[in-house]
Amino acid sequence: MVGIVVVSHSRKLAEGVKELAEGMSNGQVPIAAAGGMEDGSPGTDAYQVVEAIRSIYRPEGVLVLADLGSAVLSARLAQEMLAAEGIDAVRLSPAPLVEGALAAVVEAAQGSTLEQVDAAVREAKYLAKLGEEQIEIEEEAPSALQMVAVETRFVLRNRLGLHARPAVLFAQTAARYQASIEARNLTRNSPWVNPRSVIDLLRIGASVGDLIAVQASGAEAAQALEALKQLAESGFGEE
Amino acid sequence: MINNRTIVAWLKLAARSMEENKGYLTDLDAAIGDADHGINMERGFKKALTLISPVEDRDIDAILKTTGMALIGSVGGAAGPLYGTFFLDAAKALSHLNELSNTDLVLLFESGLKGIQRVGKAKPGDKTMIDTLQPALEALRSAFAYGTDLIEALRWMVQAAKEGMESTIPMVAKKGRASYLGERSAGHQDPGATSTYLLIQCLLDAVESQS
Repeated sequence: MVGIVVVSHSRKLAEGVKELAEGMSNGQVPIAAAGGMEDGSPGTDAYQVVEAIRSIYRPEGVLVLADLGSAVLSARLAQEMLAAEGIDAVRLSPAPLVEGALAAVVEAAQGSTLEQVDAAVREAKYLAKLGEEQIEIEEEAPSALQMVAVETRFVLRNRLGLHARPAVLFAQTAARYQASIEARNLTRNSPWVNPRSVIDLLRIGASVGDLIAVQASGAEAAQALEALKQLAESGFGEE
Repeated sequence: MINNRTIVAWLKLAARSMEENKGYLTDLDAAIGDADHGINMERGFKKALTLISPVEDRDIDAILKTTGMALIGSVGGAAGPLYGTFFLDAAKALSHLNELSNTDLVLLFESGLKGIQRVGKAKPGDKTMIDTLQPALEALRSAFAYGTDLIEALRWMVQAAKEGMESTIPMVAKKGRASYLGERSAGHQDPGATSTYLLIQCLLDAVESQS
């Protein structure tokens, strides 16, 4: 499984993002944090980043998320130093720290490759977190699955909408089945998105009472839809 | 001729200069950055002095490498990985030398500059330390090509570094924290370009004090 390293100027922030991301993935995904200087002052140290990467390194690779400025430079230098030792499956992500870490653990937990995790996390950059811009994300293309897919619909019961925690559960459940799945928010007329990506799910801006459509095709399409519908009807375990 | 004692003298002068100019660098950084460049540079070079004392008698690359590692591990800001890479890459280019010829000195700065560009991805004109370092290196090269002696070449270098540093005043920052200010970064001298100038000035001082 791909590992995640969080680099910040602040040790507390790096540790905090790690804690948040671990909570989202039930500790399945290896995560390490690097931040702050030896004396506790804010800053980054490339050697700390090297150690963090080394501590969770695996052949599948490690994705590094950094906050800003020197964190990015230290991460780049750490990547270079490790590559010189043959530890070269290390990528830097341009994604924002919190959204990126969340997207990264969900994607990594699905057993995705480093390339896939990197791609999923890049999307986090475009997350309209106030739900205001979701309509302009993609062209209004008809679903690619339409001809052969089965569909289910449900009304979102969660008072706070499809926020991060239910979105993670939704993505994890969708990933468990041998099926191509798409989801859209009919109430907001959102485009079809990939429900295995938590960022895509957050982008459909689903609020309580919105009607959500899910389509699936493939060997386990029916089971997938059943599981997702049940999950939604249980309020994603929030009630 | 520059030998390992000159390099150690350079680093000691650099540490003193960073201490003396801590407030100045931090004030420059306060205008367009996060007001920590002076503090970070002082901390970094202080650490470097502690770490180089056991290797002072070794080859030049050992001293430069130790300096680079100290800066990477203690500066904290972007200057850490940037100056750290400068010294690490210079060390790599100069392995097992006890004295530097003119060509070696050019190689030191050339490798260091390339390292900074690789890690920082800045170009000339982006309002960074590159704007000091690049013209300084060119001046050093042309001084030697012209046949001047070491001290004279370093004076050319310092002059070009100073002009390079001052050239950052009207520039709009393209890299680092200052770039968030966009047009508002113009009118301020870049703190990184300034610390680079100070380091080059210290090298001239070190060579002059030993001749």
